[in-house]
Amino acid sequence: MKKLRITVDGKVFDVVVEALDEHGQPSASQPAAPAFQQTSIAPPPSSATKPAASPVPAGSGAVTSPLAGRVVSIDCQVGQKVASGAQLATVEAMKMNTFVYAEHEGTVATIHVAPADAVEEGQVLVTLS
Amino acid sequence: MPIKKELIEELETRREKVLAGGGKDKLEARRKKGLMTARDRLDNLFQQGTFMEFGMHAQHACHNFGMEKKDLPADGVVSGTGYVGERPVAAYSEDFTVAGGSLGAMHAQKICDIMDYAQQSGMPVVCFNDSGGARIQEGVESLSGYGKVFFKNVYLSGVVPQIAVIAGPCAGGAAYSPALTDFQVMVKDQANMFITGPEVIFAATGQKCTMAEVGSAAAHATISGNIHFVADNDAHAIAIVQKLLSFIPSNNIMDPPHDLTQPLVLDEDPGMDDLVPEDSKNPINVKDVIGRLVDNADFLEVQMDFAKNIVVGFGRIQGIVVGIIANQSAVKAGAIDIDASDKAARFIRFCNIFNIPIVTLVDTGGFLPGVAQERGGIIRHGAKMLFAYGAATVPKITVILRKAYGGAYLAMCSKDLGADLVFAWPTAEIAVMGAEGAVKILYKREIDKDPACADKLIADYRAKFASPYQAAGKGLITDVIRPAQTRAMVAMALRNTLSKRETRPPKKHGNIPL
Repeated sequence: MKKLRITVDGKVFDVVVEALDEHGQPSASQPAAPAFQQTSIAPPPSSATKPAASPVPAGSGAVTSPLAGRVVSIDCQVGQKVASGAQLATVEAMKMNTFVYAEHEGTVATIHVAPADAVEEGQVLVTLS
Repeated sequence: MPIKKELIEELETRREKVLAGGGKDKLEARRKKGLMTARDRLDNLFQQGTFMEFGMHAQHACHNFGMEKKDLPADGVVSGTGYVGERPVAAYSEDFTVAGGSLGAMHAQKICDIMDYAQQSGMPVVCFNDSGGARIQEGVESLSGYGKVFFKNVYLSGVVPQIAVIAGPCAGGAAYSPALTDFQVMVKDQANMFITGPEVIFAATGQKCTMAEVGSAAAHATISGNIHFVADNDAHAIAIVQKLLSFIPSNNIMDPPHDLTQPLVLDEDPGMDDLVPEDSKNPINVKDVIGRLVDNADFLEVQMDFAKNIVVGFGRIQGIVVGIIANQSAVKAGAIDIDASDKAARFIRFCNIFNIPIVTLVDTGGFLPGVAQERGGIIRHGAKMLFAYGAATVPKITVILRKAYGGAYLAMCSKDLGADLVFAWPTAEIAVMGAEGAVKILYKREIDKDPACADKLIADYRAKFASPYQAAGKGLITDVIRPAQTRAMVAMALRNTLSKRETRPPKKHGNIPL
């Protein structure tokens, strides 16, 4: 059995390929298993859906955007100590500003985005240390 | 000649045995762990001394696997009626100390009997689920018992309110009984609920997960949206049930417990004016608005931790019980997504069944855009809200606080979807779409020639169309009011509309896009 990843028209399919003998039975050396294990039709990341800024993996201290939108302002500076609940950034979406707050106290280690950047839901805006 | 002493003694002996459930030691062990027993739960729910038990002496009829030698007091479920506040309520409570609270044929029959009684008498049903599941020894009879309970849940749905407390394990098919009720309260830490648990999920799919991820109160309250309230412990769960009952009628032909003895007060509330931010793009925490709108800031929020971009719950406005549906612009910009639509639609339908007037507070930029939303079926889910509002015949009062754009404006109980009265604050923006988008379509050629003119065109469009007066001019708004007038106007509107009677063509039921 072999696992293969096939891309058709931008759609990714993860398939398991199995060699069969002329009776349609799995070859003796291979255990029987479903030939079609899993199909993933999640679209691959394309330029259209990719965030403008390079995404940063979420981890501890990562403060993420709660929804897709455009950064209006960064309301903190690198090195600044912030209390829990402090406003760190403002994202505009759906004709409304959404304030992004610190979930816990910390020091602003990195700011990953700049005003006017388009951001995706869950994209890291600021990392606290 | 008085009754024979032996007969009284026999009754007392039998009663004592049943009251001890699975044994006094087991009951004490539960209490030491901070858990209530099945009977403790009913004793705490009902006013003292008002519990009337049904089927205390019921016995199972199973003769397999040595069951004929086993005595299961009350067959593992305590049922009956009692008073909560002024009103009788039916309830049953599964006894985990008796064969793990497992459901056999008699257990199921007792549940069905109390539900039949509740339906015929028009009283709410409260159930405490605390059961290991089917009584395997009784085989297909046990399975059949579940089916009968589900059927009763459906039969009673829309006739009397049903409230389920998940107070212990509730696994597999058993989870479908609470799922068929109107509200589910889950006690954190001691309860879990799932169709397939971590072990079965791993065996069937190879996916690893924890009980906390799939079956905990936290998971159901925040991610799956399966439950409506999380309780810290049994006492808290009972307090939630009692609070909930204080807002809802006993059945679908009664009015909810309004308090119309207070005179109508039409004073303004300047504090409401102060809640409106100067910049229309900044969010309002709509719970602050609700807090000022309802009596004594007493608001029972339903599904508080699920789809927080819409807020639903019960309160009273100058004595009249209302269900409130409000966009929360402080979360996801108040945009309506799949979960918010489901949450609101279900709540609206509950209010309509039980004659609870609906007050809608609108502040939404629209339905949430995104691939996940479209592929997840926002059309179908959003349509539930439209359907629920359109089908509701209870008084419907809408207040447009600020943003009311496009389809979301319609979905939030606009006049066209049957609102009886619509008020708008001067900050209301009622338009087919946002200024940027509209100008790009309307003035495409002009902007292509001279991109610099876009800003002025947007500003002009906003000034003219992002206001309540276009809609008011077309008769879509009853009146434009100051925020400070909101409580007074909504209270008066509710009193005026309370006698509303609306009939529709007879039909089995509409076809809500599930």
